[in-house]
Amino acid sequence: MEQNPILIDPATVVSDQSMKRMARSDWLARAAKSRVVFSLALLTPALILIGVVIVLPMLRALMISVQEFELANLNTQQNFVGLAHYVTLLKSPIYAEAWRNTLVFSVGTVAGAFLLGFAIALVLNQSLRFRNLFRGLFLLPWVIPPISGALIWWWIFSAAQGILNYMLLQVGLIRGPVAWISDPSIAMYSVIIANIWRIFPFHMVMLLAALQTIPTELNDAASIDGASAWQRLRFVTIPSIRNIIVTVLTLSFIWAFQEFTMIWGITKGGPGFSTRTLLLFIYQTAFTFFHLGEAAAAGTIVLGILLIITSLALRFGLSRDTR
Amino acid sequence: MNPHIASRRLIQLSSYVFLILGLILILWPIVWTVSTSFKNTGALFAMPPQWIPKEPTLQPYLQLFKPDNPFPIWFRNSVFVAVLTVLIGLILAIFAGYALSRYRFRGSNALMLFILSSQMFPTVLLLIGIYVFFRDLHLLNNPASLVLAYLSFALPFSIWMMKGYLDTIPMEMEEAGLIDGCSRLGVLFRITLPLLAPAVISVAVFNFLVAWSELMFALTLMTDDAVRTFPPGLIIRYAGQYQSLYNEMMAASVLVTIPVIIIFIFLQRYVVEGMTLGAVKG
Repeated sequence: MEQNPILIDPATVVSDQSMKRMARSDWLARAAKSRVVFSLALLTPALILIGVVIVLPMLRALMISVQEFELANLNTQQNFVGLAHYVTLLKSPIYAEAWRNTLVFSVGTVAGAFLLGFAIALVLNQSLRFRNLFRGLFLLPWVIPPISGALIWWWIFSAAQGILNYMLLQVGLIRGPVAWISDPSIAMYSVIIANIWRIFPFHMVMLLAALQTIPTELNDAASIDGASAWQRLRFVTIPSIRNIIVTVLTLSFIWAFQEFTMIWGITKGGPGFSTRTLLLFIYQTAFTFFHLGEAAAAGTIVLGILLIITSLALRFGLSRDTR
Repeated sequence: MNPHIASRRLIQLSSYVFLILGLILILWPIVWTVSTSFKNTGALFAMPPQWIPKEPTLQPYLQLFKPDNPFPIWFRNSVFVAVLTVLIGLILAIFAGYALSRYRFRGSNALMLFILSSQMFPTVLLLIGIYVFFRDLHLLNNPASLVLAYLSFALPFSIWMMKGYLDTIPMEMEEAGLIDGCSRLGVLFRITLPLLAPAVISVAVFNFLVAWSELMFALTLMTDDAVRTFPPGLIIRYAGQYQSLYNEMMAASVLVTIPVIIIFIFLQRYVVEGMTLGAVKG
């Protein structure tokens, strides 16, 4: 039976509404609380893992860097030696050489990969048929497992009668076979070439994606105003994708700085120490010579420098509106 | 012909030429590798070098499966480690990414920053810490230790990718599900997860690539041939006494690359998306 609206007590109507309001805010409060619990529950496994596998080992490594940790001699482990390792390292010419090698390798690799990747990205940016096919094929060096890449280049570089020397001789680019990885003065360049080959696709893909976000009107307007292709590149294209360029260069530099597989696979740091970068130096100090304390100290210095470099690069490289 | 059209055609033509020359310049090592893998030992150093072997043979590949060759064991171990890394990494990344995306609490930005900055830790320093830590726990030579180690570098980036993708999915449908009485977990699995498919694939591919070809940790944490993965196995075998078996070495390289190529052919989109997601938009 329909309720007679006039006979409804206004008080009940009001309290009905406020009851609904209270019920709703109560529901929201409970919902909010269960949301927090739920989110924390979801986060916990990942946080536990990160804590166990990243935070704890890093702290342990920092601790080791101020101890005399020798893997072979269990008695002297855990002896506190303060900053002794750090001092030894900073005075060591071998350590300095490792830094030099690392910088040469990183800068060389990143610069070469960037130029190559950018050039290809610029060409691919036009509306060409088969663009995705080309991009996919150019991606192959990046996709191949680094260990395979290292072995491939080791094979190409190692034999004196190797294919590379043969081809270059035929074309007349060299006069005699080059000892790509047995000559200490050349080995670094060989490793750089191999690494450029492997990592340029990363630059290519990122830069191509970035180039595609530039509206064509910008370049069209510039050419109507009489800008040459080079000027358009310098004043329209590059500034438009500045943040991506900075990000790509920074990431790539950090990765190249820490490259292990390619160098270990091709030269193992040799001949002599000509290709021994910091990572190889630290690795060998720790696991070939068993001086874990010194290795941990060397690694901590690298960590500090990397953090500084990255924050500087991001602070000054990124355009003002992103910061 | 209109000079503009002519010059445009010329630019297009020279672009194709440039690209094809570039492909030749970049891909010849791969061609040479495949070719080497089908050569018998005599043809390895033949002059002039044979791009296509005159007497192609499957011998190098067959050698990999002879009883005294550890290659199949390494391959199996790698598969095991990679699959575990992908599965565990996916579950953790989806959960954590979802939590970070849907609920902004005061620490969540700082957490994201920490997660990203962990990319910067020198891997070798982490290795020293992990080595000592796992040695004390007697976890060395245990594949689980490798899985954990790989997750340490794959997880932060995976979480970042997941969160980035989740941020682009509106919450309306989830809220509707909640109001309709679905549990929160149910919402995650039945409403959000199907929408996450592209991100799931990207993260899975990324984790797989990390675990499949890593060398340094595998070299250090696993010294027993029975549990080794193939990267350290290949390096140790072919840098040592089997140095001259270049054809076998190349055959092994080809075989371990094939899974990656297959993934790549079918999932190229997701590989690229994984690389550019967030970095380009963010």
